[in-house]
Amino acid sequence: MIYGQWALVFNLLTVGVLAFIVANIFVSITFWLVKSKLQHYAVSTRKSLLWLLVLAPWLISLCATLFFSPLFQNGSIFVWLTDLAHWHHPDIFYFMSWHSASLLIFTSFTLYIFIRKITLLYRNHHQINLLRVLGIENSKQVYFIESSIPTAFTGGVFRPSCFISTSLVEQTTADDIKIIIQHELAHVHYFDPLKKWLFSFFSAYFANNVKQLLISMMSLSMEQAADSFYAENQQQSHNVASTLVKFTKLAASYSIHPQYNSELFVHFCRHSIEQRVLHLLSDKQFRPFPTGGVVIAIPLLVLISTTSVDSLHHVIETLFTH
Amino acid sequence: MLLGELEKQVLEYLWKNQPADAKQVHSYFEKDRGGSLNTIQSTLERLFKKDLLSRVKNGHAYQYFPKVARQELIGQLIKSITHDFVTEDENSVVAAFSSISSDLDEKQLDKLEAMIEQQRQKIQKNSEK
Repeated sequence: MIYGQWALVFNLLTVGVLAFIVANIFVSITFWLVKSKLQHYAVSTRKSLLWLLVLAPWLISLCATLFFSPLFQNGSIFVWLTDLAHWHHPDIFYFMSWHSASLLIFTSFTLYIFIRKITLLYRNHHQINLLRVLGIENSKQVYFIESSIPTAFTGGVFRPSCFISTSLVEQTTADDIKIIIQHELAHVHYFDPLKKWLFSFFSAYFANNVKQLLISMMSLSMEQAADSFYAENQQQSHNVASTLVKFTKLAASYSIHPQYNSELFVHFCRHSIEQRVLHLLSDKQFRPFPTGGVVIAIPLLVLISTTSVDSLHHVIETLFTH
Repeated sequence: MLLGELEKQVLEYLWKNQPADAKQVHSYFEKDRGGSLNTIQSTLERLFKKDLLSRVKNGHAYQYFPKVARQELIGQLIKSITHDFVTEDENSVVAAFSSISSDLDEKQLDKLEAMIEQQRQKIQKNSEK
């Protein structure tokens, strides 16, 4: 058991963890309810909304922690809220308590996620560097790699580069290659590998089905943004769509991953390619950023999470003692 | 994995002339870029430690040869890098033009192709009017 400033810090961290869990549940429910509506927004808006969704639990948790801190608990403006949400004995912290256990579980989980993601990043960094050495630099950030696998991808988290295999160059027309390179350069421009990595880190805190959907939606949005990056008119959009289908047909004869046969995967891929082509062909007007909805939803989620922390605290302490 | 310029050149040499010992590698590079036998020996040692070369002892010297062929190494790297797409939540560090599409059925793709063509013709007609 500790007293004073450090006890306050640990108690506030516990508040943060509880608020995070509550916010995560509410954000997941919100996402599940609005997920089908996201396709009505432009790609950039969709990307912003997805970022907002994965970052919302952190933001809400920060607000709740600040609210429970002496900064706000002593202020008279929030008296009505302090009646609803308050933390008992903030200057005493018991190490052998559920407060401490929840803090420990959250920290361990965060460490586990962090180590996994860092390991992935480290392995990828070395593999990309080696591929750069073995490839031939065609132009700035574009490498041709000698391989019989027709492939094109962008890799490198901090210094992204595009890799185009020689087999792809041999089997496609110069116009198609130009489109593919432009698509990959768009990923370089947006720093998509880094953003993908960060997004996967933040979405790791969600339940599996929510996490998978969040990641696949972000992935699709990034691909759609790259598809349209250099397409200035309808004609060019159609060319990109046509190249995409041609490339897919070509890649179909080179299945390099047995996992491609998985039900879930094929379904997702089909969905993804179709959606990308339809997006390129579509000329529909997208909805603007739902500023009103966001302005209402975030404070509401902050309020719900903050008050839920107090209720949760009371429920647990009624059932068990410290 | 970071490879220096000399390491890359030595690896390229060994892909074409394998196996070779440090003296053979040194005599090849001596003409073009100079450098001592020690430099070549430590370069070979580094490549061995990076798991890119194998070696067998032949008398007092080691005979070095690449662990995998150039194309094979590139293929392994591509598979490993793009593997991130197909595992559930690890699709996080690479973005591919069309990475996960090899099992799309032909009919589905034909339909998409026809749809693109239709749209093209529609635009062409509209512009002719």
